[in-house]
Amino acid sequence: MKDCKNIKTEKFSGEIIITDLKGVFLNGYSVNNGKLIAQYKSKVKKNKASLFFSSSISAFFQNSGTCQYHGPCYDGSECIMCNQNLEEVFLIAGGSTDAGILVTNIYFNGPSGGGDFNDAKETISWIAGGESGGGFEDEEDDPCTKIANQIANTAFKAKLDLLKTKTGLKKETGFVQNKNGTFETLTVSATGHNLRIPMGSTRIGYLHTHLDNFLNGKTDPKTGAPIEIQPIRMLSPNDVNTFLIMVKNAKTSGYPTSKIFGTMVSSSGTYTIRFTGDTSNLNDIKTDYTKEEMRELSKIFRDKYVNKWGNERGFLKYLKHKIGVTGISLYKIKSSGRIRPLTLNGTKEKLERGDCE
Amino acid sequence: MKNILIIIVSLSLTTLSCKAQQIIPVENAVNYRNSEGGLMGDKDYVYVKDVNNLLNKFVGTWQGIYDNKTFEFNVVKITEDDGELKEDKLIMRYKITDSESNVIEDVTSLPNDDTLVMNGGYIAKSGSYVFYYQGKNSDCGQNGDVFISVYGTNHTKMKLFLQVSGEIWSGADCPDTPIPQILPTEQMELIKQ
Repeated sequence: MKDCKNIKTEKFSGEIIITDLKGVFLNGYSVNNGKLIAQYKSKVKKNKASLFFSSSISAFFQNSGTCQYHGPCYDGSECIMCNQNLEEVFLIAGGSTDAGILVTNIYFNGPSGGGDFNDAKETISWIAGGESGGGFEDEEDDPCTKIANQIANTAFKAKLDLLKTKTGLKKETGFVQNKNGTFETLTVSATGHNLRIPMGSTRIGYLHTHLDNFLNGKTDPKTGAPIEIQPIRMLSPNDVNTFLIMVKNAKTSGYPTSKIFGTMVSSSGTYTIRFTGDTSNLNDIKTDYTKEEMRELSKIFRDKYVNKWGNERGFLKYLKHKIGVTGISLYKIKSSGRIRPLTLNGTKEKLERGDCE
Repeated sequence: MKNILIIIVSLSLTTLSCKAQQIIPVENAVNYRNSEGGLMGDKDYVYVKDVNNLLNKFVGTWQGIYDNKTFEFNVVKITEDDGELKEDKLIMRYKITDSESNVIEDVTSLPNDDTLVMNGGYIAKSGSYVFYYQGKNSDCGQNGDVFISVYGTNHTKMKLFLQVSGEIWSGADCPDTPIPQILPTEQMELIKQ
């Protein structure tokens, strides 16, 4: 922290820079009179600004080479923004130039369910963009690179590895990720085994388990054999619909739709979906299904697609023929980290397994 | 000679007009769940066939009482063919009434393809037939697998329960407290009528 006023008599004004132990920039803020008024970002991606906080904030993006307290940048400037080659993104909460976000909010490391940014527990993080431990997604990267960077991200990888140990349970486990990179644990429905994914404009993706076959403790009255439950180990129609709603929300809020993901972890493999289609057609993709329509999708998905054609091929056929969405791409992530795009090929729509270079 | 030629041509045409058919005994369909190729694999036409007449014992009307409610289940056996996959399977409808004969739910008059009718499933390794079930509030967790097992002398007894999956659809406007299940989640006994 570098103060620019007499902090013994006044609230803190100046710059806050957060780095790792090696001095690598993680996050930073400009502070005026005890309030965060701007955030610093690394100038790696010039003239790009990411919508970083919830859309309830009025945010004005400005690529500035002028420091609030030290004037224009020059060699030897005392301004941290200048000498660390950062750019400033102004955050004006509520649209008022006199407003700001209390500086004490940076001590709340992570979200508590998202919500209005003016809430004291809002999602200001020590880490800019959730880029903890390296690995982040550039908007211009292809999906393969995006996924590779995502699974290289320390925080994401930790969640993925944890889920791999949970597929043998009798209830699903999962997380939803927010725009600031933080994760929330999903809750299982009270009487069932499935997770409820809370929606909202801050959500950018989810990762959850689909279970192994398991015995439910009951036996067949004729044979005495234990009764085994066999969940389907592929993303479900609901998983797809949840993903599409997140994609639509991203587009509305100006967040890159290519960063939205839906991931399923199972003993049959880890699958992830990304939107790679034309975002101008997003509003044409139906997501507001009626109860009857949802039941139909769920029934058909099982009977006419995954049970009939296999999980991977059936899933792709479902996307193409039942809901008519061509902009969702499916990838399988091997335990080695190898990423394989899965597609349908030819008139017989055979399953083709590609390879990310 | 001419008659022989006619026979040869007829046989050839018959062969060309029939798809090569793979028969999977209905009790083996369970082995294709979560498999790479599914029931079809690389085949053009598959018939999941009840070669050993295992489905017949489930057919009929079954009644029982559970949690002070009367349950009636009607099971029929049908064959469906979509041109690629032909299946011998069971369809089950139900009616639930309370102790005063008020109807809680009645899907007995709905067509085979209605989503509230349990249409098709598989024979589990334990011997049960397993239906995929969705209730009227399926979007709020009324969904799962219904297991039916037939036993006793002349197969006149049935055990039935719902293994709740509880999936809640995104965007569904569901109450904070879970929607009650209307099917029994513990094994209930039914008698063939």
